[in-house]
Amino acid sequence: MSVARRVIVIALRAYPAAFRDRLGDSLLETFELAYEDRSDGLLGRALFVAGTTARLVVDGLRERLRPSFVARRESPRFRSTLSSRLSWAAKELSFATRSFLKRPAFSMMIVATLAIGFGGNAAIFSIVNAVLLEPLPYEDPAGIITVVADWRGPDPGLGSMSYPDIVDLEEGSEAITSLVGVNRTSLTLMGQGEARVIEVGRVTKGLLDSFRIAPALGRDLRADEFGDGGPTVVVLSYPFWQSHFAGSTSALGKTLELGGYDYEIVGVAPEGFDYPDGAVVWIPRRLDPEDCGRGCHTMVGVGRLHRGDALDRARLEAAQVAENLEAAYPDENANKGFLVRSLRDQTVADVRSGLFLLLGAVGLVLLIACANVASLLLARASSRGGEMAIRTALGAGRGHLIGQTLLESFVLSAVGGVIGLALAQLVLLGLPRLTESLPRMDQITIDPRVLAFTAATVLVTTFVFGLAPALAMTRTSLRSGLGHAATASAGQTVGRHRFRRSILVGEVALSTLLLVGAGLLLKSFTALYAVDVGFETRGVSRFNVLLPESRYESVDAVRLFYRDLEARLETLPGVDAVASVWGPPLGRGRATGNVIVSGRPEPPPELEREASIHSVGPGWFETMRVALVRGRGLTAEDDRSDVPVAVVNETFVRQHFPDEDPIGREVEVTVDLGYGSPPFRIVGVSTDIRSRGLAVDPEAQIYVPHGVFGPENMTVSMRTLPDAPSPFPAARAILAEMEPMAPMYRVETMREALDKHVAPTRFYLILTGAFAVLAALLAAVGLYGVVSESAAARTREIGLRLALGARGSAVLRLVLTQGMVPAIVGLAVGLIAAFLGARVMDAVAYAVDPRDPWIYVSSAGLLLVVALVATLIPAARVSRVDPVRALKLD
Amino acid sequence: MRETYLARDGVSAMSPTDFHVLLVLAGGELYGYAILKAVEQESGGAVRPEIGSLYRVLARLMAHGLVDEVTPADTNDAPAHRGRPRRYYALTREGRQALEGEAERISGALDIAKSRALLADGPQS
Repeated sequence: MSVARRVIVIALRAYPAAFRDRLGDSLLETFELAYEDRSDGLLGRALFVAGTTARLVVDGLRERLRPSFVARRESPRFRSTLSSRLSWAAKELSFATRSFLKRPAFSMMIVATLAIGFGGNAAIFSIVNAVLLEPLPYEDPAGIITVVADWRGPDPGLGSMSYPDIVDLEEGSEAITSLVGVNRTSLTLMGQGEARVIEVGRVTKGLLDSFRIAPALGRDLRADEFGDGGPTVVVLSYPFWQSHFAGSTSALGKTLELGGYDYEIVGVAPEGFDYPDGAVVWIPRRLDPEDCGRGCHTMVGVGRLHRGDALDRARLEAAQVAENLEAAYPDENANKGFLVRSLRDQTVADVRSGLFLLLGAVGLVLLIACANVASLLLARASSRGGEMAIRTALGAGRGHLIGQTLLESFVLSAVGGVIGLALAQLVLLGLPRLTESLPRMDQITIDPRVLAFTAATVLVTTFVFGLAPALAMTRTSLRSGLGHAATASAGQTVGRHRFRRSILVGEVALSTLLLVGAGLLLKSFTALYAVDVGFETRGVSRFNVLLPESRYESVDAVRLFYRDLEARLETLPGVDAVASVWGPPLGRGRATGNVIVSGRPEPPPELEREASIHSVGPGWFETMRVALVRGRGLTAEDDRSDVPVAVVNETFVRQHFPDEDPIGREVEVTVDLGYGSPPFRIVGVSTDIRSRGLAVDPEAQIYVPHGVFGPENMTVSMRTLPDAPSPFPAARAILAEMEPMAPMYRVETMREALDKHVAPTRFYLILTGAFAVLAALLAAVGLYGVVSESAAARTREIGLRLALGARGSAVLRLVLTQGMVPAIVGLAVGLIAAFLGARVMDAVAYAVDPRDPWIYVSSAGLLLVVALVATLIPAARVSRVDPVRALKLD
Repeated sequence: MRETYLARDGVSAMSPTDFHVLLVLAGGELYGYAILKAVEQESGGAVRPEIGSLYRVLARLMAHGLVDEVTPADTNDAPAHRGRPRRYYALTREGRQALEGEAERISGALDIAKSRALLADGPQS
């Protein structure tokens, strides 16, 4: 509604100020009531708004020309030069509109072409606007920052922060006024109907203060509530408060059972606040600094700069703090820097270049659309020479005529813009089906900025496609006398054809660029799906279980539960094998630590290598079909073995035992999640798997028995036989029977997990592919138009040639050449441009050489076929012309 | 002296929309959207002004003194829309006269139409 209202407010500006002052409010109210009264859905409302806007603009201009408020007799005397100009514009507008209505097919073709261009641009710009341009809805949003560890050395990359680092950075930087340690976890919510797992933000102090927002109710969490043994208090998110406590103030002081503990509700966050990433409630982080100190990286820093423009200073200070910490604590802080980013940059870091690339691609489509329209209007310029000559004779100056033709172009452009906005709205409605991975997706709408962008595009494109035809038309009128008014001189026609052919070259070149881009993405997409992840994904379904900590305190209790669960799941019909893992491949949850090989001196901090640790139940390798290249997998006996054993992957072996047999060697990985980090004896070596993502190279991994390293939250994977029914309903029943406090969550098939990983590439591929197809079609239409027009213009000449004995095939060749020469030149230009600019595709392409010759060859081939078809149709038509009839034409 | 709406050109200058707007206001003061709905209803859907046109008609009628903007009689109870007081429009004395004149004209025309058997309750019935 607010957007619609704003549109109407803008449209109201068409009326004189006196009218607006007197009736504007009432008119707006009437619009709002009429809008709210409509029950025909979003599209109906959008059309209503568009129609009302158009009428308001027309009525407003009319009101300016013939004010209702002034008694008629007085009005002419007060008519200003502005109103006389407006009156001219209104007259010309209605003239232009009438002239287009006389040629509905021609006008519709132009409007449709432009609408596609405008629609695509408005849709993509809406996404860019909401995701990249719209500031975060907080005070001084540029001042909100996130800090992560930025590791150098042998395993470079970004990682979590430790609590002491966050404290030291907050104290050591003047630019950073507050820094909160935040992490997101899942906890089981009980006592509120059926137990379910919710996303919980765990913080070292209240977040709201850093975002400079006030709680909707009660208070924020405090710094003194953080730490081991602190009070169990919770702040609710607004939607949670509404749905679970009906928005009642009596929620304060009540308790919420999370993970088996009671938390006292002390506050409610304001509406719309859900940082980090969909948190439902916030609790103080319970962390023992003794256990989890400087080397324990489990959170990111989120905070405030004293001013939004202090980011550079904060970065310098963070670098200084990191350097000091590195000197003071070489064991924990060697190679560790801090990356300070604004929250917005961090949120959109992954999508920024991809979205700008899409905006560029859709901009190219609009350019092609403009080229087509310019070409069509130029074609019509020939037939309007007479009209222009007559107007000139009647005293119209060239500027006036150019103005008039531009105004005509504007009418087409504006209609195209309105339809384009409707198309964009349709695209946005379908957006959730295309992608779920864009940040701030709920905020993508056609807002005033998108409207302004579209209006500006409409104006600019009016000149882009309207100016050349305007100049061409008015030139005719000046050169040719009235006597020859109806026909442009031969020289002008040739010039115009040459100009249209160069437009064609441009169109084909731009289409080539888009096709090559789409080709690269298509290849990336197939490459991603073809990646060998190192395990068998077919037939695997998985879900997560989170046991309430309060009831499963010992590793043994956790182990027994899962072994029992696995055994019962294995008896289900169609289930072939079951195994549990902590840190599942292509899933959430991961811990890494430094590797220490027993019997070797500890490596200096700068040479330390990392490995990720995975706790697996018996039979995991067999269930996931991860091949063992040496030794054996992990069995139920290993759960209780005196000497903890482990399986490492090939990358691990390459890094630590390049020339030795790892079997029997002992290694330690410095991850402590409450179970210590004992040395493990290696009993097997598995092949590498892609655990972190399809496009991420395998990392060093160590698999340890669940009975030794036993987190209470595990991912249970079931391998089912082909054509077996979904195992989830039966598994859910078993789980509910065994532990009603442990609901099933993150339920997915491995196929769905894979799909999530290819989703971003799929999104870019679908859109770029659609743009490329549109571009090729538009270019084909342009080609067809130019060739058929010039063939028609040469019908007489061709008839003469045929009468003189030329064969149809020769004529065919003549016309074909006319179309294919610009197409081939355009293709060459496009290929060269694509080759030179290929690097921009790096941001979205994976495992593809952006200069892969096959992509260029196939794009060129495709475009050549399209061009050939578009040229062949008119060429064939003209080569079959009857010479006698053609010669009679005049 | 303010010229009257009807007499200006010596012939009726009232468009069907003008007439219907005055007609619905003859039943009592109304706000914009209510006028819009009432005009549509009373004309049996034959007159359906766009929002922009309706307000130009209202402006014209106000300029000619036929309609005035009023505050509802009971101000304490004045309905508001989104916190703003709602504007009501009412027929003025001149407006009523103009409407009566137009109604008479139409009524006269109707009689003639009936006498020429153009309407159902003409002389034959």
